[in-house]
Amino acid sequence: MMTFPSSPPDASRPKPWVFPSTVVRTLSNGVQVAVVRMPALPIVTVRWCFLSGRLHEVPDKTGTGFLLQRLLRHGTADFNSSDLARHLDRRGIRLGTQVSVDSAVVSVSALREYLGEAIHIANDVAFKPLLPESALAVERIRALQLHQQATSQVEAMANLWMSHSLYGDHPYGRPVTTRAGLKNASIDDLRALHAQICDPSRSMLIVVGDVEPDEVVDVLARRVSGLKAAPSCAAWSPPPAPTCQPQVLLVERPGAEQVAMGVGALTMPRSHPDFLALRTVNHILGGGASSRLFTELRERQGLTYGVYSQLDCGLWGGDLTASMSVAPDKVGRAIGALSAQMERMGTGDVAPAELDAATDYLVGSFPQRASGLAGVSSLSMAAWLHQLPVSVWRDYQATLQAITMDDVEAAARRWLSPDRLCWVAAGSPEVLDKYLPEFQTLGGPVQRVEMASLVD
Amino acid sequence: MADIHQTTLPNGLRVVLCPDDSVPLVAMSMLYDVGSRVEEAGSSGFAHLFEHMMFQGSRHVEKGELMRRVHALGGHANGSTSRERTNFYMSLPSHELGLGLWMEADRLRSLALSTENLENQRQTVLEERLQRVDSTPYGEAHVKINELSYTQFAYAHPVIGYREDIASAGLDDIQAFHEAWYRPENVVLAIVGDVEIERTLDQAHELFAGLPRGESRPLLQLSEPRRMQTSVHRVRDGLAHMPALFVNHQAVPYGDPDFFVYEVIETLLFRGPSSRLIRRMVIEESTAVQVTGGYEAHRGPSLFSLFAVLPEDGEPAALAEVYQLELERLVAEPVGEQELEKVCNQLRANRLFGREALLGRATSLSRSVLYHNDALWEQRYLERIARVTAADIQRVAARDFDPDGRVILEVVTA
Repeated sequence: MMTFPSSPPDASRPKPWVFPSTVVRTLSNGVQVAVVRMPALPIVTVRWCFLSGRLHEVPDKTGTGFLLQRLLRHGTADFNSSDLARHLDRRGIRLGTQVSVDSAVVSVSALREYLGEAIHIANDVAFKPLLPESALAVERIRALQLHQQATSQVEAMANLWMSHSLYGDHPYGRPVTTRAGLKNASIDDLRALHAQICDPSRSMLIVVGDVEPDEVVDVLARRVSGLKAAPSCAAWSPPPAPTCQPQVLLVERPGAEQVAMGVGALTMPRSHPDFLALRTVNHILGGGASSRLFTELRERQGLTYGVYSQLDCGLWGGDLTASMSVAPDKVGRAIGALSAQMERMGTGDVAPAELDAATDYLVGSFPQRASGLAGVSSLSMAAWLHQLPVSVWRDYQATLQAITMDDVEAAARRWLSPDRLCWVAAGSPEVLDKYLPEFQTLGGPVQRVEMASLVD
Repeated sequence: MADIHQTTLPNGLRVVLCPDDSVPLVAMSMLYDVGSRVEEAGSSGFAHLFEHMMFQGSRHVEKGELMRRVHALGGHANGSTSRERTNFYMSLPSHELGLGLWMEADRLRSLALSTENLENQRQTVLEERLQRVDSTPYGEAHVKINELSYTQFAYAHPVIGYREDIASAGLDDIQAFHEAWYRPENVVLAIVGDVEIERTLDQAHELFAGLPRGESRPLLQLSEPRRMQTSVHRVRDGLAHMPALFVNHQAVPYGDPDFFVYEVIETLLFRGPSSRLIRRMVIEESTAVQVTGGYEAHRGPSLFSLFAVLPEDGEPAALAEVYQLELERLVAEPVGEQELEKVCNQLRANRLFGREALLGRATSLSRSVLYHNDALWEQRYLERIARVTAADIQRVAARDFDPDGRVILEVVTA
């Protein structure tokens, strides 16, 4: 019988990998087009990306962007709603629309043979949508129902309250929908928001897949000729940088079986020089199953099924948050354990081995992130949106490897010091009452709110 | 068609390799032929609990080391348990595939089972259950509809198990479970990606072939009597804000010639904005906010299911009748050529987009071998879908979507 080796087989020689090259062309009408050739499979993804989003919603009409996102799929100049749905399904084409706070996307994924069709549909959905009033009535009802459903999800609501706690009235702190906003939004509001967002002068077309740049330009010349790059709407200014004060928000949800807990701090826009150092910090803290939070709170103490942290940075600001759900009898221990981990990270206490492991993961996982059409097109969009250098993804692994202990310690101390932290706990009022003394030790005033009040 | 290499080690462990060097990565699926369907009353949730135990260390790999090593390479590792199987999957840079194989072999042959690890993972699983079932709207109802749809415990109970069974699992039970099911002949190892065939087969042989084959076990014989009468049930859900409806019909298992007919029916009814049920219930009539469902195929008794969330003032019983009418329409009106072509194109596009993800392909490959004993099953899928006719759909719908053979569960808000 063979003896089982006590160590793994020697690794073979690593193979080189580089981010696929991007060709950027500017059409005669000024529109920019980025093409990334990935010929492994006969499929393509087309994205119209826009440098604007729900920011332009009228405050008492929160949900206009969500309704617009849905109404964009209700037909174009060429197809009414049912015809468009049939047309897409018949070709196996997938249409996606997303209106975020600071950006918006119309994406179409298709078999390679439908490249022309995909570009045509993406263009028409973005620039020639029907936005029919009859569809608004249907989508409003549906959105209100989905809104109602979402308000029963304690974890999701705790996340909304966390954003509100960090950003306040800044656009990043607004929920996607409110009941009143959904009721108030009119078809004129949707059309105005659409005009504001789908502005060709603030757009880029990204095509990824089994395509050649010349072929894309040729299709565009035939199918998208009428597009003008001149500004079509009033200029606007970005919102001011968000600010926040530490606080503890207790969100009441009678009858909740678990308590959803979170802690977070405001950080920086994606383009900030500290971004990658803090991304490394985030990975050490709660970025995966070998992070501090996961190994200590789940694997060692069995307090929760999942606990993670994430760094989310947009155009005008960002945040780092950590969250988990725990049973009522574990809330006290969970507060202590999470708070201890945040406090430790806030002092910049990072071991060299932790930095090495985090860097290795972020560097090593990048080829996986960039191995599919969706990943590459999303990275290409991020580079354009945040005005990152053209070579950002080609240099990404080397940039990560250049981050030092000093960089991560400084980033952790700067962005995660205890006086920057906001806490949120959502659960039944009785459980929140029971642990009030523990919540009061977290720093900042304790405030109680009713769960649905943010989204009414 | 992709190049596929398959071999069976002398101890019965099956190895399937599918090379693809488009990126220097590999994905590995170690699929064990053990799921919740092997559990008996009183031991529900063992397969899933055991999945957690597999990450607690082994003779040469300390607790937490597997994840640390995989993450240090930028890889990903996790596990999942279903009624049919337990899957341990991993992605790695291709030059480190040997490490992944070594760690999988080590935990198969020498898992570190201890009271402390069991207690810790029991708490984690109880938290998982609290989060996924007890704290989620319709969570309890999802458990209930399965209990109502099967007469046999094997498929009727939830994969995550009942709280009292999880709480009472002892170390002896867990050890016995490992000995019974974590055996080489019970494993399919599939690897997809930038894999060197000869070297990998040599490594698989070196690392796995020394494990002895387990004692032979009788095959699970699971079947359900044909349902002859519709049963209607109602539950109250204090967490839900809107009523909901579940409807289940019995369906054919994997391996049945009508499997592909069910795949077509599922797409026709549920997939995409122009599918019949989404179009009618959600878009045109607004009688549902959300409609999901389709074919829940198993190697044993299987289901065709509907789950719909209704508007606040919605009436589940009325929606159940609309659903039944749509099923009967499949019998009464042959599906047109254009609609059939649409379904084929949707499935073709899904398959092509699905091929982008190496991990998904590895799992699909190991499943093809475990369930169908055919490594090329996935490659032949579209060809078989294209052979489904309108008459096949009428025949299957007439036979299986009997209005008197339903289980209906209505969920009302508190």
